[in-house]
Amino acid sequence: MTMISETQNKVQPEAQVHVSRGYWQTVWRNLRRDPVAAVCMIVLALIFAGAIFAPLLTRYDPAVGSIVSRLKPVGTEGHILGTDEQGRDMLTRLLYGGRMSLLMGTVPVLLALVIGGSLGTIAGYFGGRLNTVIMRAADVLFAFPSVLLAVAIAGALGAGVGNALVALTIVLIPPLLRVTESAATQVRALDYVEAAQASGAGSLTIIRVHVLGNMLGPVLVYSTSLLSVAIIMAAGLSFIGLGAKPPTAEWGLMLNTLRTAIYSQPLVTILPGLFIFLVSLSFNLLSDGLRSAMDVS
Amino acid sequence: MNDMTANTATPGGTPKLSVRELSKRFHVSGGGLMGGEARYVHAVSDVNFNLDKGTTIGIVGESGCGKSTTARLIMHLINPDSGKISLDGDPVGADPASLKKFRRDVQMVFQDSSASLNPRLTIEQSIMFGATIHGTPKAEARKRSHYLLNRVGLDPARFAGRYPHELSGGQRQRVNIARALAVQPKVVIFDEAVSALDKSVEAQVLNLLNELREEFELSYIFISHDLHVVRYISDTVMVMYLGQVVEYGPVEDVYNTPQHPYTKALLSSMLSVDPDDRTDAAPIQGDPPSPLDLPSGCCFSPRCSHVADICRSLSPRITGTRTRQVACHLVDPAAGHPECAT
Amino acid sequence: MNTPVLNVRDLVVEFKTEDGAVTAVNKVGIQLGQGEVLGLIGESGSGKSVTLRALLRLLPERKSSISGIVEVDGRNVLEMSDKELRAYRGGETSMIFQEPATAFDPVYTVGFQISESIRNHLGASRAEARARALELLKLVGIPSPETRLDNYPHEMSGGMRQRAMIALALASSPKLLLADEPTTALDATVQIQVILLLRELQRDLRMGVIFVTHDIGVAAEISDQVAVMYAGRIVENGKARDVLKTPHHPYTEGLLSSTVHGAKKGETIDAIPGMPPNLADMPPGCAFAPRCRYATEICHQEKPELETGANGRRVACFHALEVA
Repeated sequence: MTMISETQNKVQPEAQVHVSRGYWQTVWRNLRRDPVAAVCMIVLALIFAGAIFAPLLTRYDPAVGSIVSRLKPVGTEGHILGTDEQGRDMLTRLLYGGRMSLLMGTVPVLLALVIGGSLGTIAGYFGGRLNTVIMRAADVLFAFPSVLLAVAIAGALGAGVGNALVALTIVLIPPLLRVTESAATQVRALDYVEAAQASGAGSLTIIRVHVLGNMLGPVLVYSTSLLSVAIIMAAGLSFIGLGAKPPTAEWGLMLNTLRTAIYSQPLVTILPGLFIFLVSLSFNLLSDGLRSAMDVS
Repeated sequence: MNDMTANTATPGGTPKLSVRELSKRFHVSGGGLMGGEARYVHAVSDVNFNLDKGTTIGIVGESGCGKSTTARLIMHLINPDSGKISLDGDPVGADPASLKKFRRDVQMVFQDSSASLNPRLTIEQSIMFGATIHGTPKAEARKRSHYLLNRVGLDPARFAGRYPHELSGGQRQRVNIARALAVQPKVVIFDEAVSALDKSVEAQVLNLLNELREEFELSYIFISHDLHVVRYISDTVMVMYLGQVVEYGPVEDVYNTPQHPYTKALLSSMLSVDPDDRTDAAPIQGDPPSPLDLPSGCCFSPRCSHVADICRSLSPRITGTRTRQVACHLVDPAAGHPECAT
Repeated sequence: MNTPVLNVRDLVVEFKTEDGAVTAVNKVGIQLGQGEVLGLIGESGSGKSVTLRALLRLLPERKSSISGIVEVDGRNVLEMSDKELRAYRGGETSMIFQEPATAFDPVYTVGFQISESIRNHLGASRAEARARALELLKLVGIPSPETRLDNYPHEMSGGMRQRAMIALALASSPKLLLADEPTTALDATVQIQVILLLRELQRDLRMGVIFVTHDIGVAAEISDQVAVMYAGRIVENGKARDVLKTPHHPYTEGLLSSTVHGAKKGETIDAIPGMPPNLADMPPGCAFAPRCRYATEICHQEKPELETGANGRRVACFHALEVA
């Protein structure tokens, strides 16, 4: 079109172009302005930072205790959160335990998001027979109660962190698959996807440019709420001995080993549970906040 | 516009877009593993037309008449069961490369201005998308998008960086038009593209479409249920009823001397803005039947006031010349309709 | 004019938004006689649908405020108690909508829903109500009404559902019928049938009707008087013939000239430039001034009042005469 090149000079320089605030910027702004979500984000950031920087925050070794100072109460000098049944510093155990617990809670969700998300997007976008095959396979897994399935898989594979991760990932794939599939199916039906097809774009390009960005919202909300479930399930597996093994510090496992001391040191005993609760609740509330923050235009 | 001038060299005025015997039926139920008789919706049967360069064909009809399906079949958004489509003499659809080229040459603007723009992309990104798919460098695509924004009446400095939800319906439809033009098409299909707009905005957009057709030497396929709009913008008009073409011809011919009883009914349903020129009686009663249970014979026979025995048993053939066609026993002497003029 | 069935004065509807109050309807006045049809014409955002809903107090109470006088058959709707309001809605005043699919509950048959409304408003017995429902379906021209009575809404075609919705609205023999673009979603050949039906029913039942539409052609078919709304105000009001044949307000003139009815092919349509103002950010003077070809300095500074002229004609424009 020669006409275009002739008139191009008339077009204003790009420096003056007005750029509106993008969708994710708006969501982030809304999220920060939501007091509950903001508190949750701060709590989570503190707990994650504590776990990551554990060696800098404490001088004790999480695995080494002292027989003379067993089950000290909260507030003991030198052991601000007390000590456990083997005389190990609780604060240290909680910080190091966070590393394992958070890892076991978040990694399966991320893996399931990648695997289930890809399969769900493919199933939703292409539809037809491919969709039927993928979704019916997911239904088979979905038919079992998730906690039971996780225990069964972890039990069959044997105790250990790695196996627990595999079990949790398998359990989390079907729900994420369903959510991404329905999101992709919805976006797939919109005119702009058809318009993109009509301009000759290939499926991969359309998925990348038009589909993923528009299904990310609901998937992100759902994944965040799954994090809160996964944290509890991971701790649960360790609690019944199918996850982390002693002497590793892990919140679920700590709950198990401390449970004999529930009458002598109740406060110390519930500390790991409190952390599990805090993280799980924060993810849950954050998910709600995210949902309302995304409710724009 | 160098590529276009090359094409006009074709002698004898070869039609730019030619559609031959385009048909599609959708499977509804039965005939699978569970057995039972297979049921189909005949969405579009045997559509034929030519579209010359710089002209507009209007497709009118009521909901369920197959006009939007026709558009999607032409774009190959739905695969036709049968039919030949060619552009400048080149057949389309045989191989992926011809389809990709075709989808650059033919673009589409949809009714819902909001659903047809990706909400996560800025206006500029949406317009650039098609061009970059076809290998235009980003910087050039951006320049062109700004030019086109200007051309459709939106100041690029104000609008390029905005998101669709910040625009009004009329502005968004202008963006959709710019987006369609960004890949330098030869044919643009408008599927009820002005139907959702307010009347004063509709008039602005129609004026714009007329200007753009001239400037870019475009051909339009204009699908609408609004007979006034089709008359204003089209050169040729095709009237569809339940997936079949019932009448085809130059727009003034069809509007002034309609031949098919359905066309007559449709045209007398047009409302006038003059309160002294009110309609006294509805030209036809009832709704169009469901495309699932098509009547035997002529599909319009249940609502037609000229219905005869032959209409209920035999589907009328298309008669007339290459440019003016009707599918009705009334105008086909061979059919032996009692009311036939000759 | 005969006894007014509807008398609206200084109707103001405000919506509370995050950025303050937005006036969606501003000082609207309507006089409607028994058996008279008012065509309320306007584009999206003009306030025509909000006006209609305000007459039934259907707007969300926490987010909106309605003030002014709305008298239906001599009673002020804005002062009704909740109980009175329930009897009034669907009683003296009924409404029909653009999308009949949403007006019916999909899980009950059409006949049941119409009978229920009859029993609620008229206190009839089950059998009486059913007989009356059958009568109504006959009245609105639904073929084989006996079987249609037991149909679910999804079993009917669009045109038939719209007829059934009219039957539902007529269940309580209303004095005032509010119609919100009831033919917009219909096909042309069906639209004209529904318009003719409404025209006939309104004449036979002596109902007052407010017919909201964006289509001047529809208004011309059915209206005795028309009111043109722009940005929340009525800018012109009068007998349909007067207003549509000799518009006095530039906006009405623009609307008429921008319809493609009768526009010659290839000729540029005389379209109104620009678009309606944002209700949250209104120009200080006449709302139409930025788009108006006749606008002078005063139009940009002061809001013109709706002045009554000869033949009951009302126009809100400083240059009304020049236009004619």
